[in-house]
Amino acid sequence: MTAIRTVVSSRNTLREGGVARLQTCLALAAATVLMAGSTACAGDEMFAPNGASTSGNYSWNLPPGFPTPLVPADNPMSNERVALGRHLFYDTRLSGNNTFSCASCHEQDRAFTDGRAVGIGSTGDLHPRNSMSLANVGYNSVQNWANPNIVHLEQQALIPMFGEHPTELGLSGKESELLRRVRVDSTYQRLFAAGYPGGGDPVSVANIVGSIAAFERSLVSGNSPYDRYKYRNEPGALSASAKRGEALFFSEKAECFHCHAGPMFTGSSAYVGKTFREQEFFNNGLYNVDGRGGYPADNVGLFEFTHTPADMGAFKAPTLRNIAVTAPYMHDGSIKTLEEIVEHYARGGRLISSGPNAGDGSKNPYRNGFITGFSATAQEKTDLVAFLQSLTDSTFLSDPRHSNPWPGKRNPSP
Amino acid sequence: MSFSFTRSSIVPVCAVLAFAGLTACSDSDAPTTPDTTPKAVAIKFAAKVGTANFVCGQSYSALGTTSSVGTPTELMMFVSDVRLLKADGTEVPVTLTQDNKWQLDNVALLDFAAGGTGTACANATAEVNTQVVGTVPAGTYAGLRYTVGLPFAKNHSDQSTAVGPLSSSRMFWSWNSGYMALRLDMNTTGKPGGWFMHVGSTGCNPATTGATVPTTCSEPNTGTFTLSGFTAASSVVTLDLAALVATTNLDTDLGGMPGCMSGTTDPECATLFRAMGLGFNGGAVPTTQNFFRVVAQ
Repeated sequence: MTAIRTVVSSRNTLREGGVARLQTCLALAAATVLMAGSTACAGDEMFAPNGASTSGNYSWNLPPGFPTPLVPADNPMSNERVALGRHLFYDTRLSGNNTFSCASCHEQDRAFTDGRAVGIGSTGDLHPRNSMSLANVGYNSVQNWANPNIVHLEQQALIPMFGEHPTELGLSGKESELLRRVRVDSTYQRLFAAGYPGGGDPVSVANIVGSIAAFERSLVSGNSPYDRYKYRNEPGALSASAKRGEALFFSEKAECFHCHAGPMFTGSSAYVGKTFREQEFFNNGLYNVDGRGGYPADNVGLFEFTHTPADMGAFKAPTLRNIAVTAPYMHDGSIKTLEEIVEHYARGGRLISSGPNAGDGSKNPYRNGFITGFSATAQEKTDLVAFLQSLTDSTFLSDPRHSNPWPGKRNPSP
Repeated sequence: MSFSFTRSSIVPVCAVLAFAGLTACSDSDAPTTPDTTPKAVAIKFAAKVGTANFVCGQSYSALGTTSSVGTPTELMMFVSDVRLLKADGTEVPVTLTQDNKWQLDNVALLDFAAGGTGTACANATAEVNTQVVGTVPAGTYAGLRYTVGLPFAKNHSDQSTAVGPLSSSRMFWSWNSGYMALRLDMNTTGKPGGWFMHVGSTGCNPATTGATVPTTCSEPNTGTFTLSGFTAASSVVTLDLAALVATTNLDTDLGGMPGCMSGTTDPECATLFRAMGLGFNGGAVPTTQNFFRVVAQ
């Protein structure tokens, strides 16, 4: 059964600029068993041993029960860096034609999604995939829907900025113009100097993506009714229906928790103290276009990178926090409501009876083994939806620390 | 004969090198005693569409299997490990001039498309670079070998801090954690919105969960080309776009993106890779290619 891709870190790989640290790691890894190797080295190579040591003056103010995010050793958090990243995140000068910002597809009141089935770029290109929520994105062990290479937010930011198929922000070939636009702005002169003190020219592509990543890591959401119920001893925060839904969610009947695991409700999480670095990609039976497990050509999932047939249609199980405000759902936005989501999993896959994507996803040979369908009463389905709705953190959706800092709101929606 | 190079003066250096290439590689003045002094050399490239010179934004007819009319909007290529070949086949590496712009270590970026705002190639950069400049030991050379694409470590280095040719965002292929090796963009009769040939490594994966760079690519899609009869003084390497696309339909998208983006399931890649002399989807490397040719300059 290879439809589940769970990979556990067991050894290190060469990485430019990290050779000295790596040698220590390799020695350790060679001499120790898998578990010890991953503990000692995953932290050493890619992250500081604990988040606090790279957090500078930054205070996470984490909700009760929340672990500390991991931060790349070369991009420590600071209030100043977060402030700079916040300005850049909401700035349409970060698109080639001055019309789009990161926030155009990641709107705070939708938990930093856009309400569309698929993203739309600054020049009108449609993205094949649904814009992902940025809530708690600093806990992701892998960033995109199905790309095992994109681990850090710093890497991820380059794709919307410079990618051309589709064009998102449309900055390819325009990096000099981007740096010029930023340099002439007195607000940025102040913010860059504060975010990257120590001399030299702080205005660079690396510092732009670094500060945006720092802002994104600050987007911690953990004040939902479920959090108050679970971590703050407020039994009344959840309705009886949501409590029944919780039990069902974590049961061997619905099996939801296998993929939506841990504090972020996704198995693809990483944080201080987590022993294993895990990335998980699953085929959840959405498509079976050729009767042999095929997915639509522009959304083949992990297969695009591994070329392994069993990885066809394998995508990350995203966080479920704030899921009620991030519709539509799935990697391509092809399911509109939470009720339909529950029906999809109860059936064990989607039947598309006509059109180019016709096929029975429940018969997809690569479908994950936990998605076998279940029978549930109407009340049980309602309860599951009530539980999912209890994961909405309304304070996060309007938290002024995460909002557009520019006077005049420099982030028009497409 | 020796030259000193300054990093702040690219155009004069190139002009000098072009002249120096003539001198260094001419065997009419071969010394009677072996001279191993490094000599400047310029390996010249030229893009063509059949017999016509390539001009970004100009339209060319009779392209591909459907006699499409194509208007190129970008043409760039990374070459690495450029070597001259002696008559006995011995390889002699060209030591590239480190110009902080087009060349870095053993890598050079060639850019044939002059564009810029207000031109028909609005997104292409205004500057072009059609030669690889450096030094080789004095001697007589009769051939050329080079790789299209970047060495693995460079291909998967951090783009946000990249310098020189690796800072060209037009060649970023961030979704694959790498760079394109060859980039050809065109608008064609049937695909006026764009037809593309982007050659680069695919199937790239980290060996370890959480690693931030791939450790392997199942399809590197780099190619090493050997051209006999090349002398820097009198030859130019042409890239013939008409020959490259001759066996491919440029007007109909057979799958994936219009054209070829190097995916193993992208149908157009089969004929395009074959014409370029690259193995496709694990297949054998063709023994012939139609893209590069040595012509007298």
